[in-house]
Amino acid sequence: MTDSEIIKLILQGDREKYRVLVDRYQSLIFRTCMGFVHNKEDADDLTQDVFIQVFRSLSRFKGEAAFSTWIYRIAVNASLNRIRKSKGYSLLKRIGLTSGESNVPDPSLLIPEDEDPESVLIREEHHAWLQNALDSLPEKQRTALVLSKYDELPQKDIAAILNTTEGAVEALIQRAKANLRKKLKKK
Amino acid sequence: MNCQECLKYLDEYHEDSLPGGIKDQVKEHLETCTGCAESYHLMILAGRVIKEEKNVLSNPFLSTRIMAQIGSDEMLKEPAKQVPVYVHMLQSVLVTLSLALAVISGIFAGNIYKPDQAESPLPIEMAYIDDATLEAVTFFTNE
Repeated sequence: MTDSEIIKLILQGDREKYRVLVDRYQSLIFRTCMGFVHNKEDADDLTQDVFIQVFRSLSRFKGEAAFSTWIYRIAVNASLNRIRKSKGYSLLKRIGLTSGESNVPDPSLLIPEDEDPESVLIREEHHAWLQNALDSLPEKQRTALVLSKYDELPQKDIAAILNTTEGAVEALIQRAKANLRKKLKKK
Repeated sequence: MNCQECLKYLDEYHEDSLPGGIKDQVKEHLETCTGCAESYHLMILAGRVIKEEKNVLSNPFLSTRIMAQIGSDEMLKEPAKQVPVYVHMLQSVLVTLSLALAVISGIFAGNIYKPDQAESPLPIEMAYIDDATLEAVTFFTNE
């Protein structure tokens, strides 16, 4: 059953069919949210909010774009809004980090597969390090990078989600990678 | 190969999707340039962190939670109908009129109050006293 057919049934009153859409897109949207918030609990909450928002707006979906494009747009907007709201917290966090010592992890300490406390600590350090670098990217670059790296979407799909051209997406990703490299080296 | 070209090919180099010639050039450059080598290591590290985050699974009960919220009473309610513009205008007019009425009432109440009448009237004998004919105070004190 296609997305459009399911949406039609839901709008006719068969709410239970929404579960099919949730199951179909849950992991994708969760991954996108994870790319923005880097925390399982926050990403779960955000994914839930996205699906509730999608359900409430379902009657406004005209089918001009693919449903996946539409839901990704909502997920990206919800994630960016969440981040903007917690900007004060992030700012404090960033100030705290910049005043401390350099926290670039040693590349030789690449994460081992076992789960001993030391490797967990190193892993957390790596996550914080990348998260701070990603968080400091401009919103558009960050979005393009998350959709490219976390969701592995082709540039064509990213362009549709961001309502821009493939060339612009290519440029955004290149700039994001260059900025990320600089920020990772700085930190 | 210069650093700019090398950085451009890093992703493909890491994914092993570069043609042989370019791949060798990137490898050679990375062996000689410490800056690009550091960038490459950082890229590998960032890639691993992203991979780990991608492997995190969402809450298995998420769809149940979503469906429960959708089924709740709050969601079943129809969205509130849009209030017409004239209702908003009417509200403003009513508020303005109420304020004007309050001010007018205040002025009216103020005018009702007559201070002359409010004071206790003088006794009739006091009303005819002419202070010009009163005796000096010393007249009594010297007595």
